[in-house]
Amino acid sequence: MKVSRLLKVATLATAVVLVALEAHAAKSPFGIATPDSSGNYFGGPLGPIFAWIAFHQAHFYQALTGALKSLKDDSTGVWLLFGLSFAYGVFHAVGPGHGKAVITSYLVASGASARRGIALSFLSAMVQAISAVVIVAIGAVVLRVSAVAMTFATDWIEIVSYGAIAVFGAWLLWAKIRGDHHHHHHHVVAPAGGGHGDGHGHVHDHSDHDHDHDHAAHADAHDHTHDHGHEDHDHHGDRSAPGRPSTRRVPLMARAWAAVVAVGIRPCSGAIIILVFALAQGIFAAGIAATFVMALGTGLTVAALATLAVTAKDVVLRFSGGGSVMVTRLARGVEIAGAAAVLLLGLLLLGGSLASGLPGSG
Amino acid sequence: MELRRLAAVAAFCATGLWAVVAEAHPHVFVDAHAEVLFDAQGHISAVRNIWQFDETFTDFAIQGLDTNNDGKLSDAELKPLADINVKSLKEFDFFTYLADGNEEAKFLPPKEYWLEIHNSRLTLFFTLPLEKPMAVGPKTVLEEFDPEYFVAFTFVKDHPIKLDQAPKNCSATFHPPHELDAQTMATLAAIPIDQHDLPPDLVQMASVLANSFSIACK
Repeated sequence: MKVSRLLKVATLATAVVLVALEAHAAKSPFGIATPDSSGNYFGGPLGPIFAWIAFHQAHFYQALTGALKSLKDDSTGVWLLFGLSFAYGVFHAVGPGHGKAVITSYLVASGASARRGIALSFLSAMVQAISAVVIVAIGAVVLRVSAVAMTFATDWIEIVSYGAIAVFGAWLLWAKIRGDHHHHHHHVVAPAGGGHGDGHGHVHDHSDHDHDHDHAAHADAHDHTHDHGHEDHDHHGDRSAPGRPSTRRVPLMARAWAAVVAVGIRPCSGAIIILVFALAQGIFAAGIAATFVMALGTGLTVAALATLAVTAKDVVLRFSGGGSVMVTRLARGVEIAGAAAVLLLGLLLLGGSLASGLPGSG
Repeated sequence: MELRRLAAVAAFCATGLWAVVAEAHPHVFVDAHAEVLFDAQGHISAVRNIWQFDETFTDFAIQGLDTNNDGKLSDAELKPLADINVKSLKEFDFFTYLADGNEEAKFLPPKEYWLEIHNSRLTLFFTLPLEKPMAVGPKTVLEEFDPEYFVAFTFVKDHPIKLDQAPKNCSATFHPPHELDAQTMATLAAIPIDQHDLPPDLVQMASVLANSFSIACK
């Protein structure tokens, strides 16, 4: 329990660090293009490292826009452009923004597998790219509004995104505290056999998961207090409960999508600037392609981070050993902390965003 | 066992921290030139900034501004953007910091400002009057940078600064941002975040981003 409490505190503390760093009122210094994050990041022990990364990112960004521009007269540079976009995306995501924090917390909360984490990471990066392309397509191509208006729109989208994250976190937390019982119903419906293994024909395809230890104890004790990640239990539709196939998978999928959309609809300022630039240079298609390649790079970094978080959680649970009840409680503690972190992140981001005034008021 | 547990918890926390430690990256690149204006008494009365934006940001900034579709941007078409630029910059202290030791100069919002296009690049001119003129002291330093590094400032190498109407014995020395060598990184790591309360030489060290000018009248 000590470890569990420590974990809860650590996760919450981690989220609180974000107040100081990210929830800093983010407004644009020129009234157009709001910085993706703000605050003074170059202090503290890690400061110089981030300064170093940022320094190199600056060069990358300029190489990228240079490569984009040179496409105007010479299309052979397209691979260079894609290479730079991908690398930029990877680096861009190394210094994490809100998306990574939310996705990671969500994964910890949901007990999802690393595989699911990777999928969500790439999806949220793609949604972000789509969002940027849609905003520029509507704003610059169709409506031909100014950068001020486009910034106004993205600032509102940001507020909606942060609000959605908070609501999503609250929902997740509520579900966690309530205990996510729907899985257990399942056992009531088809209680054949004493063991988990035979009765349900659990063809658990949640391979890289931490359930193995649970199940060992589970088979005899059959105590249903465990609360593992339902999201990966693709067995629902199979042999276990033919009568009620996908009814539970819908909200679970919806939950994953909610996370992806809440995080992804806020586009990155850099992508919008690059897209408008590409449009002005008459190479909009190349700009769109570069944006998606960039998202691929970002997705890769976030996926790596997500995998790390899920693995770290599994390792913590494994090392803490000491009987299934303990592990169960610990897992629950971590998951509730993760859900609370999503809620807190949403609230902090929203608060920081609103603190700098509503879009257009400044 | 306890040790391993702790190690695991530490790893978990590190992952979490990595996830939230934010980091900035520039999306606006400015080639800058500063002019320090002196009054008849030989005191600094204003700082004039000339900031030329990169082509990418320029294209973004001027999107949709050519309202009469003549392919050119008139002063009238650029005016609303200049207004919002200057208004927004106020919250960021115009990225301009002038101090003599611990005495920080206060700027009034600019009355004189405009945007021009030079070589397809947007250029912002604005003059920041000092609330009250400041005598040049032994530790007078002008700094221009964005501590959040959304804007990357580079001063024009050959003539980064001009002292306008200054007494003949005054001169300025330009200290560009430090290169990020191992030594600087180590020194920086030992400096607290609150850089503006530090002595000027440390102020400069504290930020790898600061373009710093020492101004002296001998």
